[in-house]
Amino acid sequence: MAKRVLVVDDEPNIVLSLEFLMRRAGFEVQVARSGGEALKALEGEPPDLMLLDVMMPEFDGYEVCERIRANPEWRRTKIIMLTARGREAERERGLALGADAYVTKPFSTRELVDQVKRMLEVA
Amino acid sequence: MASPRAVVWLVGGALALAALGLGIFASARLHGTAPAAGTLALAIGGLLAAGCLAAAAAVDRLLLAPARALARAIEIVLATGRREQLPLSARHALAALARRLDELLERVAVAEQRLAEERARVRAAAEADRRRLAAILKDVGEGLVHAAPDGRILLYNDAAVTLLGTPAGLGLGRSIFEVISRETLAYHVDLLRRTAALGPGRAGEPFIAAASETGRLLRCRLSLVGEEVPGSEGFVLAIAEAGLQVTSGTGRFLDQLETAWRGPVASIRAAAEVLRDSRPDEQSAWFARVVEEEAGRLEKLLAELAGEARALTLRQWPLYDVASGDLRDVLAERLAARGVPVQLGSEGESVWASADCATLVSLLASFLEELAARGVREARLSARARPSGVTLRLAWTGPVPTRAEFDAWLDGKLDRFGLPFTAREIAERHGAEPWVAATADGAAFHFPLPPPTGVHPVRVAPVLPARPEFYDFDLAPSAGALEARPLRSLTYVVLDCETTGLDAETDDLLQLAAVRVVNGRVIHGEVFDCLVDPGRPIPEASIRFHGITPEMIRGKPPPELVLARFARFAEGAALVAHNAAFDLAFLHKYEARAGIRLDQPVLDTLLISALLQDQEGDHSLDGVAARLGVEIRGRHTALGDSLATAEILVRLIGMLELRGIATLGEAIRASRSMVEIRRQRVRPGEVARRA
Repeated sequence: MAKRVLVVDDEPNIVLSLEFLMRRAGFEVQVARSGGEALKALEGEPPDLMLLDVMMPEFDGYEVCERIRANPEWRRTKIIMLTARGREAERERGLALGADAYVTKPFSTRELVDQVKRMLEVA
Repeated sequence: MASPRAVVWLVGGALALAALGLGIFASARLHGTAPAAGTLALAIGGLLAAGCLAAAAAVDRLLLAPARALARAIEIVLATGRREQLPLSARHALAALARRLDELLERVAVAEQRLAEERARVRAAAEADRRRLAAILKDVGEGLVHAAPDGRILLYNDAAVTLLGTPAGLGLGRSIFEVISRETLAYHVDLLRRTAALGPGRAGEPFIAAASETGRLLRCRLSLVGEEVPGSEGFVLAIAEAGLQVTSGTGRFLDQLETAWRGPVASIRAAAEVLRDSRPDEQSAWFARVVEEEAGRLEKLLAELAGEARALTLRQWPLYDVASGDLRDVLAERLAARGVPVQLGSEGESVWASADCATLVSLLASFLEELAARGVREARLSARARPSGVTLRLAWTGPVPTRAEFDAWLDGKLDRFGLPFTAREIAERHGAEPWVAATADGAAFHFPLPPPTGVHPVRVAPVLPARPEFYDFDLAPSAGALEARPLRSLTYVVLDCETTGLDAETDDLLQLAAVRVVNGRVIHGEVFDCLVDPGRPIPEASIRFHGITPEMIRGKPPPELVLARFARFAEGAALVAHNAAFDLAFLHKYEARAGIRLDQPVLDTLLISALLQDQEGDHSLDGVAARLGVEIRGRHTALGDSLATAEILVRLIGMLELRGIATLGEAIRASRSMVEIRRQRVRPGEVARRA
């Protein structure tokens, strides 16, 4: 069975590329356009991995990350945070709040795909 | 102890009674045997008794009364230096003494005159020096404030007044900690004293503090002065405009800018890479590469710009190397001084980072105060080096604030620490945003700091035993502390009110004026004079007393605003007024609305005058002024009356000292004893003159 990836970002153009890349890599892809949608998407069967943007309206990626980690049922879901914030300290913040990896925009799509594969052990 | 007068009359009266008793006794015994002798004995007894009373009266009139009058006259001469004509009536036993005394006083007056001339010459020379110094200070663009070890201001220049923007707060004898971020300044004074003790010649590093009155940011530099014991020197504070107006919010702007460009560039790059990987024809592949390369250049360029801009904001605010262990020590002291019931421990090695330590400590203390309010009693501070900086971590066991609560704290001003900025702004100056993350048994507050510059200052050694007094600044000088101090050493604020009428309950303030008296000198340059618009008509009948017309108060501030300003002017000083109960009743009336409390000790020149001089005499302001040789310029203007009262106060202090009344507390207690006596005979005229 294909692993499931949830793409969470409010910018449609990056979502387009990410969705395409993940599908091509053989994953089942789901998209959420806000923090609230992301949490709703987790109900039922949580995905294996999330590509989670930090800067979003409603509540931001840090808060989504914190809420996910506060729920033991969602512990299995891996989180890669994508952020447009360049400050180095933000990486520490993301990891402290429970992200498994932290990628600063813009990123190399190939490296990102490789990282997702590595984390889902499908390489 | 009985007065001599009472003793004389007691003895005279007792002797008279004894003589009369003896006469009656003898007359009764002789009544049967020799009635004539009995009558004679009674007559002799009566005569003797009358003689005794007459003798007592004579002693009182000829000896004691003139002695009292002489003493009073001499007291005035001693206190005021005015040559007073002694009561020289020849009809008393002390006439010769009075004449000799008069000659003596004449000679003393001549000697004093010479002394005064000499003193005036010396003072003129000193004044010339002072004026030269003032002229030099005036031309210095920097603000300069010289303060005593305890922070009392000894000297300041015009530039300081302009920069601090607080003519009401800046004054000789006032505390410098009232006019500038108290805890920031205290931190740097302490730091400088500690490091100075380790080696001479250390100048203070510049730091940023805020003027209390206006919140204006100032670049400050401290130097220690004086030969005092190391650790308790006085200091000179040099201040200049910080020029940092742009800093506030700049960090947030850069953050937004960076986020704004990183998103689109990421989308372009990802799209170009996808295109390249999807086996396009040759021409499309070529163009896809162009898009990819240009996106890469744009990314590099913008990253460089963002880095430079960030470094620029960091440079605007002076940051210095500090070890996290020292930070913990300073924070623990601050918590103790503020009475925050949180025990602060440390974890791991001390790590060097770059920070504005004074402000950072205030920020951490503020956060811990919030935690303490939620019942947290113990916290641990640690620091960990990151590739490009250091993260401070404050961990605790217990409740975790929600994101909304944390954001509210981040965006709240740290006013209670004398800082006119928010925690978020302080974080921005350190180039990052703090956050809270839950831990297994509680949570941890993270504050990212830039890496150390490598220029480490001398380690702050929190081991010096002598705790400088200024850690007590939080406790405003309590009334008790003022009362124990010698009268002459105190700062007084002598005030006078003009009002719409005599009843504090129904009438209102029209004008409030005051002047400072420091070290027994009336400081004419430090006056407070405000007209008030009480928001009600001025009774026609009262205008002839105070001369304040409706036109004069148009557009003037309301009473509570004037009172709030006055409270700042009067902070730390004892209040003085002539018939103080009247003025204070009006001021207290607006306290709640002004959000202040005038709780310092109060001296009443009317009561002191009554205490020192004849209780029966005229103790109106005019009466006392005339007796003590004080000229009133501008009678029935608030400022004129308060200046006259100040001059009277200075003379009365001299007279109190002669009476052995040395402290403020003693003076207040002694004058309180006058209250009852006065209460029984307050003459309407004395109160009416106030209107």
